[in-house]
Amino acid sequence: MLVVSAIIISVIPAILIAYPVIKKIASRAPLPEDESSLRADLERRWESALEGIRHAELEMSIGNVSESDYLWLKQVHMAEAANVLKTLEISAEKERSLIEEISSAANTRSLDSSFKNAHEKEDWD
Amino acid sequence: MVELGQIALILSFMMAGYSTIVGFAGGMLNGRDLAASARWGFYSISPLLLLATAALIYAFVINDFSVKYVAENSNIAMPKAYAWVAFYSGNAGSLLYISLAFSIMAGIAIRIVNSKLPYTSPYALGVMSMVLLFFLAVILFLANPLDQHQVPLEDGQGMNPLLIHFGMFIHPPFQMLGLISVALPFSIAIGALLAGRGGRDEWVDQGRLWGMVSWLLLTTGLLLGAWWAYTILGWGGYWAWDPVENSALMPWLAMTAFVHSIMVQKRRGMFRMWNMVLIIVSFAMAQMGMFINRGGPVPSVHSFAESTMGWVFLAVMAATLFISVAIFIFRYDTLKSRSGLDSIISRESAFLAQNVLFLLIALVTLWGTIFPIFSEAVDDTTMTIGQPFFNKVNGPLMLLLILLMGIGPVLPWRKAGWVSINKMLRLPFVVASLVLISSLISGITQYWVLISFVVCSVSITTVCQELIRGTRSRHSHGENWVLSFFSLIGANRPRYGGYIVHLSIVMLAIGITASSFYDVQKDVVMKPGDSEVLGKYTFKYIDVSEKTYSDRMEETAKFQVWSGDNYIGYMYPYRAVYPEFQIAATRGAIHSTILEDFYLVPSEFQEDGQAVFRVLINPLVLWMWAAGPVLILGTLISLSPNNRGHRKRVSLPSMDVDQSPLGRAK
Repeated sequence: MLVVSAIIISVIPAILIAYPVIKKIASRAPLPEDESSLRADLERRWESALEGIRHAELEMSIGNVSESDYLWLKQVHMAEAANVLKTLEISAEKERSLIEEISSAANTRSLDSSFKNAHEKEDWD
Repeated sequence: MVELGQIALILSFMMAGYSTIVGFAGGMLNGRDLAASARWGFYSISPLLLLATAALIYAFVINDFSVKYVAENSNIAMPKAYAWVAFYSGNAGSLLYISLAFSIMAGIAIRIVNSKLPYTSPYALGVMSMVLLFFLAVILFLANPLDQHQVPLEDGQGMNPLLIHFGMFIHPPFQMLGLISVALPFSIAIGALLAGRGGRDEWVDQGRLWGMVSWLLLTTGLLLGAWWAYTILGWGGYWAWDPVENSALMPWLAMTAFVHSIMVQKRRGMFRMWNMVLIIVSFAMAQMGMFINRGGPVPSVHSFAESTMGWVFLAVMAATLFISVAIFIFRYDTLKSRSGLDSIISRESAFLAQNVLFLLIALVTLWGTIFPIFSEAVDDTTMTIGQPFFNKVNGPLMLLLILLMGIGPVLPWRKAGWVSINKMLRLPFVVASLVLISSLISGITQYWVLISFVVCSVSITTVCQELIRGTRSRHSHGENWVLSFFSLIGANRPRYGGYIVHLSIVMLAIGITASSFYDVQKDVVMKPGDSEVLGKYTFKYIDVSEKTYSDRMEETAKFQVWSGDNYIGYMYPYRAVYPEFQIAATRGAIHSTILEDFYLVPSEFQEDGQAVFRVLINPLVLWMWAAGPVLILGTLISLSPNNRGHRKRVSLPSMDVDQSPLGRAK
């Protein structure tokens, strides 16, 4: 009985470690996004900027900060968010040709306006 | 069953070794199948350790004294329910408990980390596996709880009598879990450094999550330890700056600094190096705790006295520290902050000042704890540092921290103008002034008490002000008051959860201040029928009853107690003598109210019927125990995910962007 039990508890971990290597399940799956990619970094900075704006709004609404501090904080975070968008474009530009650079200028305008619209509609709370 | 447990232990050791090697290999070779294999190998460890644990507990339940550890830590008289406590009451069993608990927690952590940080995960797994490998190696080669005697004994030595207490079911598990759980954020941080992915705040969310989990466990363990000391050790106190207590406090201090500081990195991309340093220091201090606990050279009332393996822990601590610092230096260039301080008057600055204070207290505590080693090395005399040193040095630093705890959270990120500062801090300082005046009028003259009450009032007022202003703001948009209050907290959980935690810390501070400066103590010699008075309490010693058990002789005194004219009832302090252990365990009888505890504890029962009792009135101790659930609630609120799924989010526009890691070749 002991021998059988010992074999069973030895075989199960062996199967568990061998299966992913034999079946190559992980390598067949699509590559996960790298947490250190430019996209992921920009996502974090974007979230951080939005959180900053949200925080400034909250502080203002509960009366913790003066009007001038609020405006300064909001401006700084808005600039950060805009910077993220700008960085996004620059990276994209590296990958594109001269023609795409022209279209990217148009894209800039659309991104700026979409950001403004989105910001106006956002329920920050 | 014991043999099966042994096999499970050997297999778990092999699996931990496999996960370490293959985890690192998977990370370095970018072999996703290897990493998956290492991960599944790691997942298989907890069921194996569960089997080994079941084997040990079963041996306790059936009184299998052929197992050495069972014979050393239980006997036939031990209630079966205490098989769980006996499991970790000794050195070897506690190592098995730590390994089991860590394998489960790390399994959960690595599953989450793998989905969030797929390229960091193999390295983090490698570090976690290495930590587990060390514990399993110690178990297998130095302290195996499943080792057997050639000839089974008829009865065991029994468990340390001081451990036969309800608190032992929860205090040690939390304390040990807290200490080892520091390895989780440490592994994630070092894993990120090894993967070359520590420089862009990739690991911050996971580091914060597991840092908070670890902090919660450490805090709960400390509070339960204080409560256990207060209720069972029978000296009327809850904290004695004992080396083992200090060894649990030091990583808590470092982790408290870390969970605050990591927020700055998340919000501002600052303190990247500092956070790495903090988590390395935290883990080193947790290891130091295990070293002191397991036969380290510093004398303590509740370390594993028989163990001499502390030096193994010290050697591993030194190696871990050396390797961590080497990795940190190797990746130093990638850890530069994204931005700098905009203003000295900002939340970031408050966090930094608070961090420095936490580390200062930790270092003072460390120095006081290990000072006997130095004194012995210098002139062969062991000088221990007592409570007055810690109270005098750490007390003021802690009060400064509580003041910062009141001011810091209301300062805005980046900078605050004087108008904003005035808006936020005017009321707290008005209230603090009123508290100071009313304290002086009511006769409080001890300046440490006055300072403590003043700084506590600043913290309480800022928290209340924040809650009231926030609720009022939401109420002005049409929500009713109750809904406004809860939706305010629900919508900003890390912020308001943190405030609740701060409230609990203030409750603790008030309890500690009041019970340290205004406790009243009296030793009385009484014979049955005698009455005595202490403060407003009158207590009458009725009689004493004796009961003899196979392992102990219990003497229980019976008292009638009045508070002024109000009859409270009977109180039963008792003292048990365990001849086998040559230990007398006393248990105080405590009458707790929100204002004070009336505490009766027997010191000695004499042949002539007289008995010596210590009687204490400890003010506001209940506030400290009540702070525990409040603290847990606040931390859980802080940790709970913000469900903003129902809201419209402003997402980063989807574009064709470079997906390869920054600074790396595609």
